[in-house]
Amino acid sequence: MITSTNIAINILYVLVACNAIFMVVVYAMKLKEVKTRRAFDQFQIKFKDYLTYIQAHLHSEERLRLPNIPMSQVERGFLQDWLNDMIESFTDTKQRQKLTLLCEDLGLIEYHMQRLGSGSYRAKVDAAYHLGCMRVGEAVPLLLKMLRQHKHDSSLFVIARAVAKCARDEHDVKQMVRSLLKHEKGFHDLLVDIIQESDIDQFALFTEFVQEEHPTLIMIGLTGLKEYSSPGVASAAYRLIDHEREEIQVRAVELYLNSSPFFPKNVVHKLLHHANGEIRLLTIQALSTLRNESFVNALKDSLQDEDKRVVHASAIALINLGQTGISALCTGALAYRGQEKGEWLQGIIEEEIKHLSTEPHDLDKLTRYNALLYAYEKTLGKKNRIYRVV
Amino acid sequence: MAVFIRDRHGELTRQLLQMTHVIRDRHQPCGVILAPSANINQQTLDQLESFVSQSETELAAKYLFDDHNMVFAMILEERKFAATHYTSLIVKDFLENHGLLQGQLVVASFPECGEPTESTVSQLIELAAKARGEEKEIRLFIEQPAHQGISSILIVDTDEVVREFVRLHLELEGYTVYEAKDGAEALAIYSEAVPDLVITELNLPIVDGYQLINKITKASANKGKVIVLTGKQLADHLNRSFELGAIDFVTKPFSISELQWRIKKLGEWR
Repeated sequence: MITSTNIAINILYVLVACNAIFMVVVYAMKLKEVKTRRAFDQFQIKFKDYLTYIQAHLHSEERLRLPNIPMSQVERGFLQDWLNDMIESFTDTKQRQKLTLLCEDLGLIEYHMQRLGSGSYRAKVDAAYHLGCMRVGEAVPLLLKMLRQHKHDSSLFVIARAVAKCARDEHDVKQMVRSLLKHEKGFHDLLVDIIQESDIDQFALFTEFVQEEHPTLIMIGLTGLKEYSSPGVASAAYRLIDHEREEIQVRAVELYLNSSPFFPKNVVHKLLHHANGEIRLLTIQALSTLRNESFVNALKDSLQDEDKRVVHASAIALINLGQTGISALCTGALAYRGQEKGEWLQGIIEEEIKHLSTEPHDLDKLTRYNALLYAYEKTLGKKNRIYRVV
Repeated sequence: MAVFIRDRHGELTRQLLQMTHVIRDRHQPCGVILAPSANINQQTLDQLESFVSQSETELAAKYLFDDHNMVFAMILEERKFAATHYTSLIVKDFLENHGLLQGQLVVASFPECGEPTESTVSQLIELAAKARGEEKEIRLFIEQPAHQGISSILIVDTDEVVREFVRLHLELEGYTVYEAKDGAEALAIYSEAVPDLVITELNLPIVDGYQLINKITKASANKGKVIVLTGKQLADHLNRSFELGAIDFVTKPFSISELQWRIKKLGEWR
């Protein structure tokens, strides 16, 4: 007869068995890791002089030579990992090429090319990673083929990164990007990071992407151009301010504000009246960092904005402008007296006064504090002083 | 050619000087390998010559043994520094396998590592003689002018490859280099050795890079003792590092020549 006690005991047996199996598996994994670590330590001791030879003569004109003592397959694998680390650690193209030549002499390129062509799926992904590290241009056609047929998982980006590293020209990178576009998962930031691994003219490529029609390509272009500052970047971004997609509008304005050497008043006016609140906020934040008094009226007008974030940013920007901005803010707040917005603006000013009063050791802040307090009392007519700092 | 010399005082120096000058006069580079060793007879020298020539078929070299200082010497014609270093790996392999090596090998190449003057050659021989009993490694010799401002550097990084690479190149530049793999170890070494400069990663276990910069800046009367060498590339990391007192910020992947140049300039400004 089956009783519930019997069932519970059986479940306990199963659980104990499962635990035992998991413990064995974990223990085996740990043992394997320890064994690998020990083998790597032994490799480092055995080949210490040779590794030092490689490190010391990366700058020399002579080609690096093969180890003077025979290597096992495992040791060859460790050397490959060590060389990968070296290649990835240094920006000097000459040093990278020297290490790649050594990899070629060691037969590592040929070995991984074979694995990429005819190995199991796992071996192919591993080979793609190593060929990428070694910047093997000949591997690009096979890698692109693999990329086109690959499903959307994390290995996809290992292969894409390998293509970028091995890319012989812009065409290879473009093909890689177009292969990934079919997945349409909004990973443009990751794609920019991958493209930046390539040795091509990335500025030209990102500029070209900005002029494309595909929204993901435009996003990649705009994200990639963030690293550059030139008038060309600002004008390319400006053309996209009214793009039909909001995310492109925001990214374009961000780029424009970061790269433009100056802000013409008509452009500022256009941005501050943009339908997208995010864009108005970005513009106010950019004007705030400029601290240019010629934008006082524009900032004061923005106090009327319907978006509270924009109003708050405008108030802070006006405070940061000094005497003129502070007077404009208090006058702006006065216009809304008796209304909820007026109270809120007054609250922002009082909060700022309170904050500035805590830092009397900072001369700039002390000056702003006195100016703000003076304008506040004069315009908004508060009789009781909040704080006084001398 | 293997030559066995019964050395009187200064004989090896004279031989080395003479040979290096002959090669220099032909406007060719000249490599030198020196090693403290057990007693080597003519037959062993011949064996070594034959062993080396198996891998280095075109090598023209002279093999010497100074039984006064118990130092083995090898002079390599037309060998630059890299090639001489490689040959030293083969020589070391032979000497170790025959139980003859008794300390560090010293490797140099003229004119790459300096001018073969009497003082340089004597310095080399002295180094080899003093290296007896030390760990059986290969020591690279480069004559360096004295550095201004900075003579000792602590490198802090969890990545062993980066640490070793930077250490090796800075040592070749003549700096005394200390290594630490985390922030706590770095602080312990710093308080003991008080290096002139610290190069640190921001991403460190136990005590992170920011805490390390902060503690070093507070502990030191001399501002600007820390260069950040990090994989973190955002402007926030840069700003915070400078706010805490770092003097320079280098991102990975990096160029060792650029890092060496920055250290040199920093030394000149002090």
